[in-house]
Amino acid sequence: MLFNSYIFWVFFAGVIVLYRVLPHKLQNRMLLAAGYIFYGSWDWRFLSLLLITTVVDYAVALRIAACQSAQGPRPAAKKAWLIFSLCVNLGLLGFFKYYGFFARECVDLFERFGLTLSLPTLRVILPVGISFYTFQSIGYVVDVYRGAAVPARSFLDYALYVAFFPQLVAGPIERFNHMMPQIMAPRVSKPSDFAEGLYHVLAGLFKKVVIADNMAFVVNGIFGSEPSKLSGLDCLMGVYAFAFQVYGDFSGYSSIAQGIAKWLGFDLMANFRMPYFAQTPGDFWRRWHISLSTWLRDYLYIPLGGNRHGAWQTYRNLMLTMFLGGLWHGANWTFVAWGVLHGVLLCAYRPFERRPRRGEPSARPPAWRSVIAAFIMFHLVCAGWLLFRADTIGQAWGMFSQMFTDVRVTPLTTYAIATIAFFVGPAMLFEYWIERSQDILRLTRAALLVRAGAYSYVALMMLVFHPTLNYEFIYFQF
Amino acid sequence: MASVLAAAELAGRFTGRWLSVDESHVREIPEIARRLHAGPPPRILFLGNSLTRCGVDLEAFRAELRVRGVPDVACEKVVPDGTGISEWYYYFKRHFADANETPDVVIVGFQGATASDQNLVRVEKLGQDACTLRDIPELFTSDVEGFGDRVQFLLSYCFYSVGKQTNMQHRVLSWVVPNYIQETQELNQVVQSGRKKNAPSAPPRSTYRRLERLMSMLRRIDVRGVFVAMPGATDQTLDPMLVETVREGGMTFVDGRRIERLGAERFFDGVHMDAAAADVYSRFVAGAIAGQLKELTVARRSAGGQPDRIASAKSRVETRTIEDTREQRRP
Repeated sequence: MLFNSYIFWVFFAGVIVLYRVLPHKLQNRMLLAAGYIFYGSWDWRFLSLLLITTVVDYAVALRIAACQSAQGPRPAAKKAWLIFSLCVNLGLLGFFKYYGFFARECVDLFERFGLTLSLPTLRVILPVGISFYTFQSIGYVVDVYRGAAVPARSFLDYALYVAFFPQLVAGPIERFNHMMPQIMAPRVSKPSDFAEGLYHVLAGLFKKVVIADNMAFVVNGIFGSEPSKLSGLDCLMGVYAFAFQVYGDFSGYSSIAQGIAKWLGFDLMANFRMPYFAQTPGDFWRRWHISLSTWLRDYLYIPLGGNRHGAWQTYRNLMLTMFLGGLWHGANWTFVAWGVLHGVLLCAYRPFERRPRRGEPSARPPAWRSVIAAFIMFHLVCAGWLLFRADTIGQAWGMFSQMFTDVRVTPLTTYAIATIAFFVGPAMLFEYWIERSQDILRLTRAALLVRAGAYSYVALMMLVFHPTLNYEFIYFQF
Repeated sequence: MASVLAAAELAGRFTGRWLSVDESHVREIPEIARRLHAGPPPRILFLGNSLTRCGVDLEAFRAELRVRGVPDVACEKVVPDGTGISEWYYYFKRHFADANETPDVVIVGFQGATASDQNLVRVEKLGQDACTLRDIPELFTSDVEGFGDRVQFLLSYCFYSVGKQTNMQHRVLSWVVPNYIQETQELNQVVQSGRKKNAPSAPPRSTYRRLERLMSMLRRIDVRGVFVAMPGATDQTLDPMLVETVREGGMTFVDGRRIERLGAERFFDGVHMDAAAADVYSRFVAGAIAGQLKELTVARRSAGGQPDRIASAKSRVETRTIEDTREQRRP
């Protein structure tokens, strides 16, 4: 069920009606059932994977907590349980996501040396959202291991934490200590909940339906062409269009998830914060897919040592984290290259990034410097998007070199510029308006006429400009 | 927000006619049906999409028929943009069959997959223009089966702005985006060829249930059907199953894919015929069916000159080729 499909909203209408009349405990059970129905609507065969992850990590967390009992801590047993959980979770993720990729690469590698390696050819279907709920569950087990979280006693409440349908298939990746208290305590509606939820839902649908899906047509056309048949500016426009497609798609989904969770009385973390206004790579990763970047920081970068052991180890940790972050996105060398590029950018900027000390007010740089920094950063990010979207490294390189060798303005260039400006321009102006105030909910507090105008614009655009072809959310494939 | 949407709905309903040629044409269909029914028999309806709109020159068609001994035909075109077999069925049913204003002959021009069941169903066109609520049982059984599509159909039926969303979108974007139509077509071709490349090596076979339903309706109301495979700027493939289906349906099939003097340069945008090509194509079709029309005229005379449609005319099975048509042209 896509969030921008009619069937989802019929489903949600049923959920919200039942939700309003049920007491707290039954609300949780109903939401759990809704989560399994929602996930099963993609492919009922993968419900078993969701259940396995849930059962294993619930049980492991309790065993880990038991190892810290009054009889004395048993660190070896604790670690063994943690490793068991990681093996199950990463094993499932690795098999479903990476078996085919690594099998093909191994066969190719052996062939280069004149050897034939015969590996079983399996057509493995990728379960939707497996990367998200697996990471969420791993985070829970690690938090319990570190003593940062008390394990869930109620299996059903824990199962709801894993299978909460607004964020089940594409995040945000929620932390146990943030979600579980909201599950266990009765939800109290606030007067602003409806308005905030509506804002997030409309913003999300607009970003998905109007921006992402309309950019998809341009992107698919340009990336589907031979680079030699495009001018450099055509290639550049294709990359810009993809930058806004992936942003609209992913932030749109997260926004809708936030909105419908708000209507259910839950607060999900903000996953995006005007990322294309970032001025440095570090700033970008504090604005883009925040739930993943903080997860990687807390469960990979910091355990590797973070920045505590000198510059070279910091660079190594950054590169390793971003390498794995790239690989998380998919089984293709283009994703790995994308991750490595971001690692390089983080390392390159690190000596020049000045972080304000605790308590020290952060000095605002002059406006012209911010604009130039954001402009440069946006284009560095776009270089990464070229790798991310291209089918092969060769295609990415072909398009990249065209940008510097053929700068003709073609009819396709003007078409793409006008299309991007029409669909994306007003949204970026809106984000700039929010960026200046650093208040994501600024529109909900604006004057009535401003709100009416904005919502009317959104409604008209969604009415007139939703494409006839529904594109699936990009991040479902992760 | 609600008032803005309501205003958009009202504005669309009152000004839609001027927004596009297609919208204007669709609103004219009831009048076209009445005009055709009031004309002298044999009454000929060209049913298709923009390929037929550009490719059929009614004056050239009539002129060629006069040369071949078939004077005084009434002919009209019903050619909503972007439509295929599923929409043609309902347009014809609503405005001709159910309205009891049936022609004597329907000539359906198609290209590629537009006559197959695999052609994209334009749910908004069905809802806004082609169907009535009475069509819902048949529509939801045979043509619009998914929940989302059914909701889209109902919304398109009720709201002009939903039903005409594609038209409004294209109109606005053609004002705002330079080279909109040409670049959109080129990008479409790239995306379609990419889909074909990534498709399974043995794509599913085409089926023609909707074509069978259209032919069944034509037989029921005693209308002769002629199905013409239209020419294109590039070579058009023809599914033998389609020809067999038309044959088994008791209708006439005409293969018009390769007509002399219709090279790629005659298609002004790579898809649609220019005026000169329309003249050639229309005369070709006239030549292909002149014999049948003469029979209809003779049957009318032997029935006592009844001005009404020829209820006793018997449909013949016939497959014509270019060679047969050339044979007819020789004195």
